[in-house]
Amino acid sequence: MHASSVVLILLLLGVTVLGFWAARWREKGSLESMDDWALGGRNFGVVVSWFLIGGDLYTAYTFIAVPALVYGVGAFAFFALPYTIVAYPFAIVTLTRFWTVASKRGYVTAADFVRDRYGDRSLEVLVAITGVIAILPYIALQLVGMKVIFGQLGGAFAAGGGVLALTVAFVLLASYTYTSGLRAPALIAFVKDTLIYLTIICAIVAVTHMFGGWAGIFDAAGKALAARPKPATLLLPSQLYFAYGSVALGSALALFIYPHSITSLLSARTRTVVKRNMALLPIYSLLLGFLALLGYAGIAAGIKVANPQLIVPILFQRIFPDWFVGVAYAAIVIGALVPAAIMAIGGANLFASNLFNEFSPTRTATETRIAKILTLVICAVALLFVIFVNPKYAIGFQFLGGAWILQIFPAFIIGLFTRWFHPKALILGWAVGIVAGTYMAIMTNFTANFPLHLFGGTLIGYGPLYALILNLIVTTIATPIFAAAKVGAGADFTSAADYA
Amino acid sequence: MSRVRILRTLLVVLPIVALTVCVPLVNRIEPRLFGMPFILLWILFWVFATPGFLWGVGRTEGRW
Repeated sequence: MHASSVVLILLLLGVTVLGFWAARWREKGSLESMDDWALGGRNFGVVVSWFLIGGDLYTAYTFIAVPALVYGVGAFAFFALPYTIVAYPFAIVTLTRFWTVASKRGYVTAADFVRDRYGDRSLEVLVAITGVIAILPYIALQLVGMKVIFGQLGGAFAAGGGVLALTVAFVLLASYTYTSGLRAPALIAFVKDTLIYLTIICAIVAVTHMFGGWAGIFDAAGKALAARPKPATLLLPSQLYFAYGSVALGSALALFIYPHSITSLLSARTRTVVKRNMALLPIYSLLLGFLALLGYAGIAAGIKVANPQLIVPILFQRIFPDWFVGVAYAAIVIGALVPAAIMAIGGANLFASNLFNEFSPTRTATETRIAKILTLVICAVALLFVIFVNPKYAIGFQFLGGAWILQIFPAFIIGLFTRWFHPKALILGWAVGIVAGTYMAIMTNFTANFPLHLFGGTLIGYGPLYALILNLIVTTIATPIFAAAKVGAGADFTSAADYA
Repeated sequence: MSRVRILRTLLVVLPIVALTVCVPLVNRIEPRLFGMPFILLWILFWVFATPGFLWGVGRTEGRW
């Protein structure tokens, strides 16, 4: 067996032990309450939250996909950085407010808030279903990332197209998540980050040394991109300015309304912890930037791959000794396990809190039991998805999930600031947004950029964002109509003081 | 709007505008630093500037 495989197995074993041991970490009450199992006791400080939220948002798939996109299209791929930076100014305004009302009213999910704010059961169910459906392909994508690594390792890891290794890794993941809840990914996130930092720093140093500086890398990558059959450059083509900005902005708006973001956010101890983390986390994007640069380094090094996803794994094999390739690959695999666990918990919470039952601030041990079992179910569904469905579709579905989750924006995020919208109008807007988003996704073959024909011109932009705008227009027009028709507007159980 | 609110809004909106709307203005190779094209330097600058701006937002709420 290669040294890289041995190192990877040892690190994965270590992480598994840590995952089970996490049940006892910062133990306060029993793990039978939702607050304790699903939100780590709502007691994480700035440091734990930094690693947890960072480990949650910057997923392993990002680490494979962003350099792959740089390798494929050049400058446009760097939208990933503005995307992950822009998310924080938005979040510091909206999500600190959400954290406050959630802690006062005992919410575990975004759908809890929507139920409490609008007094409308159907809206609660729709928001919850949207979250669950959006999270499934996102988990599947983490598995796709792991599969790439396992395939590259070869041997027993690649047996049966990596299915065996994936299944073992995911059964272990599901088991310790079931046992320890959010504490497991919180603790493992420390390992993930240490390995990722180490890998990236070593990769940057090695690549710089190899080329004698970054100027050479950019020049070589620029020449190689220009010489392609479909030429690209280190600069953005001017017809893609709007697409670049709107993809970054639209993705940023979606990032923090995903169930897994909500789960890691609500585990923070105080409002100040949330605020400080929103201010600090943009620095995490530096890591993503370095990884994106490795995409250029791969081009400059003349690596030719049919599947761009392999660019970083192959680059690591070229520049690192075999045992350190094991460390680097472990960083990516563990980087997939952390968000996958949080996503499974986030999805399970929606099920237990909003679908199985209606939201109620008084929670029972049954609810936690349901959430725990559903974590296993969600992991199993994601695994089956990746085993039986072409990874290409996993990526397509994940894009579709992004378009859908954005449609809860009016009910959830705008609802934090005003109760003006009528709940039935929100449902109508949501439906229009979902249909429009799906239509645009299919028309563009599940890519981000939809050419919108408007007033005789064409504006290439982010389809899901167009769908959200349509959703908002419909909701705004329908609100006074429903009010005039005297359709019941539901009760608002929150008060102004809950948000301050 | 009170002065604090204006300041707060500016601190939140500036990084967003700088990274999305301002792209055409910074889409250039020169000047470079450490061989990096200017468009990437601009993003790199905001990786570090945004926390500063958001720290300011936190401060406008008093307790920090």
